[in-house]
Amino acid sequence: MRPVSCRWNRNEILCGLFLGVIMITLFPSSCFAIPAFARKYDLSCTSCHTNPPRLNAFGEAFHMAGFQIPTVQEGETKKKRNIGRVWSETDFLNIFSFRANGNLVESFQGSNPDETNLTFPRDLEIYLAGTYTDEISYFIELDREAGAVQGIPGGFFEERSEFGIGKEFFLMVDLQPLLKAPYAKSGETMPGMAHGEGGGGGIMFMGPMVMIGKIDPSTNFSYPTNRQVILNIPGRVDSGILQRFGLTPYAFASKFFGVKTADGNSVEVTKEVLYNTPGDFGIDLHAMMGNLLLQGGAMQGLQAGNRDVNSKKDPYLMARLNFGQEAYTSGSISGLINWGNDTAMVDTSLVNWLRYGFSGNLKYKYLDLYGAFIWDTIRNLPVGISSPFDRTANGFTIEGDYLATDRLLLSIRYDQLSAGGFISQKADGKAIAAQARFYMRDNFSFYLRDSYNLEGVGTNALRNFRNFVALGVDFDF
Amino acid sequence: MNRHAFSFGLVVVATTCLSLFYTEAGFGQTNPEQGHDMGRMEETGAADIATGKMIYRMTCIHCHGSKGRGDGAAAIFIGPYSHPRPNDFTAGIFKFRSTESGQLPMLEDLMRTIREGIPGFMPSFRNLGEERIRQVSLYIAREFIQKELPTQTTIKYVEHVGPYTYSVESVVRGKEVYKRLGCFACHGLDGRGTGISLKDKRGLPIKPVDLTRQETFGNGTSHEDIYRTIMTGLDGTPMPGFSSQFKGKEESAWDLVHYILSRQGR
Ligand code: HEC
Ligand code: HEC
Repeated sequence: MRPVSCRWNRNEILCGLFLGVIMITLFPSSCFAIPAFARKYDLSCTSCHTNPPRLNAFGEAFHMAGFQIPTVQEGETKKKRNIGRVWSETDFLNIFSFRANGNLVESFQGSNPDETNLTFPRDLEIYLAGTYTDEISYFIELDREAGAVQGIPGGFFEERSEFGIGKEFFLMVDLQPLLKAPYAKSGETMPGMAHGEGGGGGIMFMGPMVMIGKIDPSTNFSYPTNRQVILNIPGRVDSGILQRFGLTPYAFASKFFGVKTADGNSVEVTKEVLYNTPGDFGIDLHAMMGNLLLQGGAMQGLQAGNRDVNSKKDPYLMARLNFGQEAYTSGSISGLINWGNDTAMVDTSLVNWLRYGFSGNLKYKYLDLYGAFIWDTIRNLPVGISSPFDRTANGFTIEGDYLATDRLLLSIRYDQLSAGGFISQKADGKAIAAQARFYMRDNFSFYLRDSYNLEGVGTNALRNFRNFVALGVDFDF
Repeated sequence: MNRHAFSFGLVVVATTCLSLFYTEAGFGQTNPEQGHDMGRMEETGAADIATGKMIYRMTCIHCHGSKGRGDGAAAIFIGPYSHPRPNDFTAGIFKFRSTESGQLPMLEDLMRTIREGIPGFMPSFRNLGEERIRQVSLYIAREFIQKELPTQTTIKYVEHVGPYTYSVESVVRGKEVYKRLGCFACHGLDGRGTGISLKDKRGLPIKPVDLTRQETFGNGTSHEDIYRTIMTGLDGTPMPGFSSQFKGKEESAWDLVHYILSRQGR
């Protein structure tokens, strides 16, 4: 048993606690996710969210319209939108939010070594988000992540604590006003509305909307990677060797053992990659017609950041169909195709990566059910690689969240990984997680969660734990 | 490889099917009474109703539901396990009216709600512009309420003039009225509310508004708004209308308004 360790130094913890206390006492009622929007429109968080950060149907429409109320450019709040006046007090609070979330105590059992950590919430995020003009909105996330596992060359890893432009950082531009015909803004029609034939039979259009910057394209998928109720478990690195993989929704993981990025850095098998990266450089175009959402775009490359490592891009196409608009029911199903163009490396050769899959979401009353099945294939594998390699892999993740009382959210998630990569290194994974989250107030909750490795403990870093328990906190302003 | 070719094919085929499946009118939005409706529409201007419908389907539908029953996909989480929830337009019970308790709202009332929004629960649609606000209100009236809306109200809205302007005396009288009419039973002597448990028409728990905090008022915070709230009550909630108690002496309702304003330090 390893002694209880702490990932933050004392000053950081004191400073954070101090900030937290100030925030809670100064601003008692606030809310999750992007509270700035709630403040701006004078709405409760649950106008847009089911269980923050998960969106409800109205929140999705708001997001789709570029952080605006559909049909209304800027609602009541036009005067508040100008980024140039950021520092004038109340206006600033309409675009500024803060979030601290993560485990306070976490414990791994049946792992080598067993460990119990006291931690300060790993993730501190600051958001600036709003609309600059009727057509241009921005989203900037500054993020401080402690102990994130990062691949480095030579098959090694390191744990880093980083502060900087975090997962997402983008501009969203509504192209609709530019595309005059057939549904341009005119005296007669609404923005986003086609002329109906014979009274009200027209199709509704939203977008096309471009996102440029550090984006998470899966934000439009039926199971968006960036809206998770059960947080990811960090991995563990000892002297460059990855002892234990993190636990993430396996459907979105990289799934291949021994695959590297195009510039030679190791990739954690459980890292969310490609279309499902929670923020990487790319450009995205999406539009909605009636209940059908179409999305296409290209990412810079597997974990390539802003470096153009191989001058090729990873394109994707996604189609999503929404259903349900009554009886407290809504949902969607999505299909995805994603092509990684020379995006990864096996041994010393660049390889292509094909990713495709489904996801679905059903919300009925207080239940929110969502899942994804994703297949991955490594293409053009070089002949004569160092050892046998499985070119295919898939992952499945399903989660259900149920708001049992107005203060208690119960969640359960199942993850299954059928891994690929070097056969000598690989192992499959199966895990189940259960969580109870208790809301002390709208913007402050504690959670207790347990993750259980269903495959049994093994020597592989993917299976290096039997049970994981954590007590954590989520605070937003 | 075969396994993958198969599942890949599956994704492609299914995605294509989904796309074909999608219809112009959209899922769950078909109107069973389309033919019948067309006749009526002509009377008020089919174009108005059509635009109203578009607006409704693009934004209101998520909370208010495709049939106007207040059961939109986003509705239930707005006040999870508690009031408020978007009301059922088809049931004809409306909170925000200038008409007597039990009556339907006027078109202007619907328009005011839509224009101002409901703090905390429904965004303001002011920037739609008056014309579109009128169109979506007409659509709600025709499609969901399906009855003629009253065009005038029997409640007398008097000016606050003479002895009924905002003054210390008026506030003192208002405090008496507050006690006499039993407002304290729900709102408490200090206006902050009592612990009594109340339910709305749907059986959801509801708290009396804290009268000292204007930001919690759903029906508006201006002098006239509060006057209207007291006279009409909020149908569907325990908050009764007091127009009959003020019959013939409508001016004294202003005293009560002033008392509430004074409790807010206004
Ligand atoms: C974010 C969800 C939401 C959206 C979007 C929304 N509403 Fe509402 N609406 C509500 C809620 C919640 C209530 C009930 C609030 C209450 O009872 O205090 C309500 C109430 C109403 C009322 C009736 C109030 C009464 O008198 O009882 C009308 C009329 C109305 N909405 C019209 C609209 C129209 C028209 C639109 C679209 C332009 C719209 N709403 C969009 C949530 C929404
Ligand atoms: C039977 C209990 C009850 C009584 C008696 C009562 N109220 Fe209320 N009142 C309520 C409830 C419940 C609400 C909250 C309604 C809601 O949230 O929609 C409310 C809301 C209000 C509001 C805020 C409306 C808004 O804009 O949201 C005002 C103002 C108000 N009451 C004034 C009064 C006055 C003045 C009296 C006495 C003449 C009075 N009430 C008597 C239960 C009561």
